[in-house]
Amino acid sequence: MTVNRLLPIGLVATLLLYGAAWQHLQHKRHVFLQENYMDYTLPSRFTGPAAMEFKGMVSDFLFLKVITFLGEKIGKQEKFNDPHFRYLEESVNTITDLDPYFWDAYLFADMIFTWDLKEYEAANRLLLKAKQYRTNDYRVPYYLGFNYFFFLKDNINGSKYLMEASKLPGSPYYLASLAARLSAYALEHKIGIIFLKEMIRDTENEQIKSEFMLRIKTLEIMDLLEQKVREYEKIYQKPPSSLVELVTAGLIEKIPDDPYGGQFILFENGRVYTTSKMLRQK
Amino acid sequence: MNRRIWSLAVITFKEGIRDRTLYGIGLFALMIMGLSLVVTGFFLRELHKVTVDINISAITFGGLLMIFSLSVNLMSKDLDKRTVYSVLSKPFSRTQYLIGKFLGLVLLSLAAVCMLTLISTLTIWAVKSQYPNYFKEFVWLSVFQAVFAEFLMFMVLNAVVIFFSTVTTSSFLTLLFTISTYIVGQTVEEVVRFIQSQAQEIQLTTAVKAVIEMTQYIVPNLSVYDLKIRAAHGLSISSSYLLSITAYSLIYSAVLILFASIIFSRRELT
Amino acid sequence: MFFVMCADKGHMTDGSKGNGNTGPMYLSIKDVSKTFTTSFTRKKILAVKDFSLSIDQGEIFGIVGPNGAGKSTVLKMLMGFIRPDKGKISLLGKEPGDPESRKHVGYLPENPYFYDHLSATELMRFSALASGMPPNRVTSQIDRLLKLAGLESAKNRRLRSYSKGMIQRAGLCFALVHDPDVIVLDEPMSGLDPLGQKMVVDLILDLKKRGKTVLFCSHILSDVERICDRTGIMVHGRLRKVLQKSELLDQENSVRIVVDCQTPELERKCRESDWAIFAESTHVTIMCPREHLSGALTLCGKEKIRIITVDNTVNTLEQIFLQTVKETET
Repeated sequence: MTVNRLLPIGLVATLLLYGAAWQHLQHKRHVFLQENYMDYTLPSRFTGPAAMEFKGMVSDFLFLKVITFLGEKIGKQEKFNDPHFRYLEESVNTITDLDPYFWDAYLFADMIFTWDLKEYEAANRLLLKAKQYRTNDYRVPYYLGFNYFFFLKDNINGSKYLMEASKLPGSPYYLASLAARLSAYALEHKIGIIFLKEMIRDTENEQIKSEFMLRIKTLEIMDLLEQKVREYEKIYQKPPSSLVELVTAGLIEKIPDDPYGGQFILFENGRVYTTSKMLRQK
Repeated sequence: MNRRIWSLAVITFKEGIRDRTLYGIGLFALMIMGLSLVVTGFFLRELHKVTVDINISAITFGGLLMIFSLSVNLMSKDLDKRTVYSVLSKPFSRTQYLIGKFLGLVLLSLAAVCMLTLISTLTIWAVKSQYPNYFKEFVWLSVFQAVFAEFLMFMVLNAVVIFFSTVTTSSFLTLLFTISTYIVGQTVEEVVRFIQSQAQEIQLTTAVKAVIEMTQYIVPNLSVYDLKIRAAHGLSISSSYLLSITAYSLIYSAVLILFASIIFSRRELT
Repeated sequence: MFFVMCADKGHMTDGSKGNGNTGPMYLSIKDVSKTFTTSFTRKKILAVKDFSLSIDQGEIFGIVGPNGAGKSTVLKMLMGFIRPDKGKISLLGKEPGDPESRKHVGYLPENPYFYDHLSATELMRFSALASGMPPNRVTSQIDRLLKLAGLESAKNRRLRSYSKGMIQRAGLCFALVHDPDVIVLDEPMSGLDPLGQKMVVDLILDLKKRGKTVLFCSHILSDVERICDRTGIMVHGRLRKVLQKSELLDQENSVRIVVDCQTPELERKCRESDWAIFAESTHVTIMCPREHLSGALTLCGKEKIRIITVDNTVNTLEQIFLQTVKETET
């Protein structure tokens, strides 16, 4: 065998070896990465100067890292807990320190903080930070208002921010009147229904959409029940003492189930609420 | 005299543009821009931000690479390989020589920026056509303004290269000093502001503080040229700001070249 | 081996007297010295010492000397690349520090390097424009010179692809494209084949015919001998001798006799008649004026000294050169 012929044979052999080694490594690597380790984020004090003039790109890639990591968790239906929260908050703070106009990052964080982590204060902190920079973006006060309305049941502040949003360019037409009605009829369920129906139009996330639909359904039930209470009052010149009386009066067939798993109750002022407070009962 | 300086700028430009490393740099920048076509798909809504971020960063990378390799080479090769004799045997003063080389280097940066911007424009346009809904906040003018600012930075860095090549004798040292100036120039403003805002918390000796304060006057403040984030979000940049940084670049470059002339006039070309 | 010549005539160690022209000092170097200090070890190297030379218009001056004699340094000081420690230099009435002094000067460096990626045409275009030639004349001048130098076929190729001889010729074109009045050449024949060397010689002679002034340094003594009006010999930084062309020619009046040994009688006769004689390992060489030839041969016959060769003195400059070097070392 001449030296020349050895070379291609040697090449093929090493290539095969490489293939085997790669497979083996892949497997080990997969196991390695499965370990539940949380990435750490360098605070922006360091990342900022380190990124020099490429802060925008670094913020993009940090964001990509965050959504990949958390997206994985969401996909596997893993529950979020405290370490996740801290990681997300630190990362998003760094990302938005690098690029304070990064709406996608703010929105992503807001969605997860509110829907998954129930950290409403943190969500609003972040949105307030966004508000400092994205001064002409109606979406910032819009989401702030929504958080107050939907999660914190604070229609006063909800209305205040929605009003702000309605004044900014590009805001939906209904915001001003919605804001007004929220403050005037601070407690009517109808307002919430309208609001949520508009929100659904803007949402692509199927999960969130279904949450909204659920909420709408509940509000519609409560609204209907309140209507029936008013009808009862008209007929009998006095409010019913409980929802059961609506059934006995024949105004409704039966007390509907609370989609959230709680029970509908009637208050003295004629308002209908649910014991579940419209939060999922575990 | 102008024709003389211009003729030197022309041969400097030609010598540079025919160098193979330029193709490598162009290819590298092209890859990054191509990356933007792919990577954009991973992001959610603000696709214009990511696209603009990556493309302008690619232009910046390309320009920087060119300065660190080509500009440094063109200057130190001159002195190393004695091609400078063929120039200085002509009626050039040392100052005219440096001005001519500087002009040539700036022309090279300009050519590179133009070519890279053209490709960027096509890339951004391609992404925009694919996802028009996610380009609502996008403004072409801001992008070009940011690129112009980067070009001004290249001009200043070329002057830095010329300065250091007259001071040191090795191309490696020129490269090292230029890169250091770049890094310090990019971070000095941030560091100064951090110190001023956190004066109580960090314990820095007055000497260190003084050094840092001094540095910001000596080293060019390169962070003024970073308009990428504003361009990424379609925010406008005022023309008075652009005018200020243009003036700053021209003046700083002139100062460096004058310094370099003085040093170079003393230098013996053995 | 070193020849000892006593028959040199009236050479001057100071080249300040020219051919006799009373024209203004075209090129003047006066009492120039230069010492280099190596930056690391702080060692001082004396490159040039008390060098004085002036050249008139239309003159061809050649400097010869051993390697490291300081020839290139002198030329570089003339061109303003290096500053002399002391002394004065004037080039066409201006100092080398003044860029205008180089407007009508053409320079060819030793081992020339040019920008690799340019073509000969582009290089020459630069040379012409930089020296202030009007743009409309440039192209025709470039073409003419390139044709003369035999580079026409390669004129648009990159210099990178040129052979050493081609680069040298391109360098000459570079130095001449703007029709300078003074031409300074540092080792113009280095690296050239005999054809190339002839071309350079012809070129310099042609320049002289057109009234140009040429200063160059070289190792090729025969060519220097042939074309220079004056020749300077530089050793260890000093200008030791300056010879007129006529002086070199004068030497042709003497003959060389090579014999196999020497006797005391022969030595005595040489001393008496002022003939040059020196002994080497295998033979002895005698130089005497032509008219003394028969007397010398007769003496050798009487002393039973065998004669090996009799011929005309050759390589005059070489002899003077070697002698000068030897004198310096003693």
